[in-house]
Amino acid sequence: MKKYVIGLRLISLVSCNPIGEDLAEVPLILDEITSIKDLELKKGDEVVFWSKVSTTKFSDYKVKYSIASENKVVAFDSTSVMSGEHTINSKVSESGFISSLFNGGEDSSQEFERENKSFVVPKDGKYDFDFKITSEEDGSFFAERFSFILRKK
Amino acid sequence: MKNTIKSIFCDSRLFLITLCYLAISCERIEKQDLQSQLTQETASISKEEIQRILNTKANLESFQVTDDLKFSLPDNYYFQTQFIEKGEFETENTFGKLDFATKENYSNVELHNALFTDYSMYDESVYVVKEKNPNLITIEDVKADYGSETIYYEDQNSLVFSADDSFTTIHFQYDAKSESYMIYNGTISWAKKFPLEEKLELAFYFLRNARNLLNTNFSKQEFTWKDYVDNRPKIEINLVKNMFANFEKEMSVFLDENKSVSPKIEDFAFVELYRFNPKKEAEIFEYLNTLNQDKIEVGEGSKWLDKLFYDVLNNFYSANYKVIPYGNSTVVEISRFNKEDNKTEKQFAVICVINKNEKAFILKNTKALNEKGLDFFVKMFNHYSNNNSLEIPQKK
Repeated sequence: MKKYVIGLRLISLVSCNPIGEDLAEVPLILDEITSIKDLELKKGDEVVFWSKVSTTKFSDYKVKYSIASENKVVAFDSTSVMSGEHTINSKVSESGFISSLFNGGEDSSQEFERENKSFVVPKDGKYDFDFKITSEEDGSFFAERFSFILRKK
Repeated sequence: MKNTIKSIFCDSRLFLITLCYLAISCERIEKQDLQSQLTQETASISKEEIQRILNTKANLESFQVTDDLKFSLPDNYYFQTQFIEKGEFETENTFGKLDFATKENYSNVELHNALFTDYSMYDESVYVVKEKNPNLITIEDVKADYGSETIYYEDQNSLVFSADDSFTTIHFQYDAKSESYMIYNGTISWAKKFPLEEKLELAFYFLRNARNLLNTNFSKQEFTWKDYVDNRPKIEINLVKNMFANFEKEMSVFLDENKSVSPKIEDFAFVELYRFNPKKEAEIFEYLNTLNQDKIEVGEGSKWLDKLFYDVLNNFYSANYKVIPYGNSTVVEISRFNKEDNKTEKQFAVICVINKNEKAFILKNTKALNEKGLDFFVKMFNHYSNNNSLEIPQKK
């Protein structure tokens, strides 16, 4: 019976939450602050940021983030969208028209999620997460989409 | 046999447990889906709120819109009149029993809010049509014309309604002196993605404007930022509040030195926040002084300021500048003589230096303003720099 339970656990993990519980997803928009507000968290929870990337160029961009509770900043740091080792949900999607027209013949874009930073909740409460992605060059992302998914380990 | 029964029993129990487990672990996701289905938006407005809007203060100004007609419009409005001759438009155009095609000519007066240069949030226009019979148009005929989905308000000569998330206000008046009908139409389209409550509120500001067209009994008074907040459509005030919403976070955490942010709506930006090195503050005032004395053409001063102010100052070729301090802000009046029209054009830049937590910022408009939009920006910037917010502080 014990092995059944383990099997069941596996089934349910695969079906709903393979890498921890999804808390929220926030798009990253160049030079804009995007936020997740009022996330109810318990002391000791580990919140992992996963960057979700769709790109043809694999350029890296800096992301500043700040975490606040009760209007007080409790963590402020920066990372970059490409940083991290653990990559999941990787797939190649064809987007021939757009990229062959503007990107010199590359005909596919790659999508993946990558484990980025994490944050251990210092005490029970509601938390706001703010993110801002910036680029050294002027202009906007072309055929690139980024977001952060927050998951609880 | 016994074994088989046991194993079936075991399997079905296993199946049940599996189902329960999946149901519990996926419950959260199902709940979210249901929630998103339920948030279908509808708009409503109370009678008191309608009355409040119709009584809001507007600083009216009188404008000669056709040869024999003057309109009273809010002072942040300008207009454009188009004369239409018989047969110029083939399409059918009627309003109740009034048939435009039978008229020798008529006018269409387009009204524009000068507040947001280039950005058009809604359309307001007035047809002026000569007609001897002052009783030709009835609201019943007008209602039949529009076949609207939801009517929020009607009286003998007005109608406020919505269809497919577009909100429209129709109002007509007869001017006995010029023997003409004035037919006002104000519309905000479904394509403008604002909360429906704000669109509906705006529709009653349309009605206020329409009713004021022939009003001659008005006086002008200076507006504070609170007056603007209390007497302007929420859709406009909330739009600028949204633009400023993240400035506090930018100032305290995110914005790097020599970088700027200018939030956009549909690709239009109105304000820019720039962070500079506090040691350079004196350079800004030197720059403005030099402008004021017309000693230099813009382009010869400090490079970073040239670059920063390029969008608001350099659109005029060989202009004269006048620098006017106004509260915490500085207004730069840019004037240039236009030979073709034989008149001097004036445009404005508003610049506000903000010091916060040993950091320094410049708040500015992103495109030169005309005279009608200037006061709103000055009051907005001054209020922001004094309160770190566009909200009105609650009295204690």
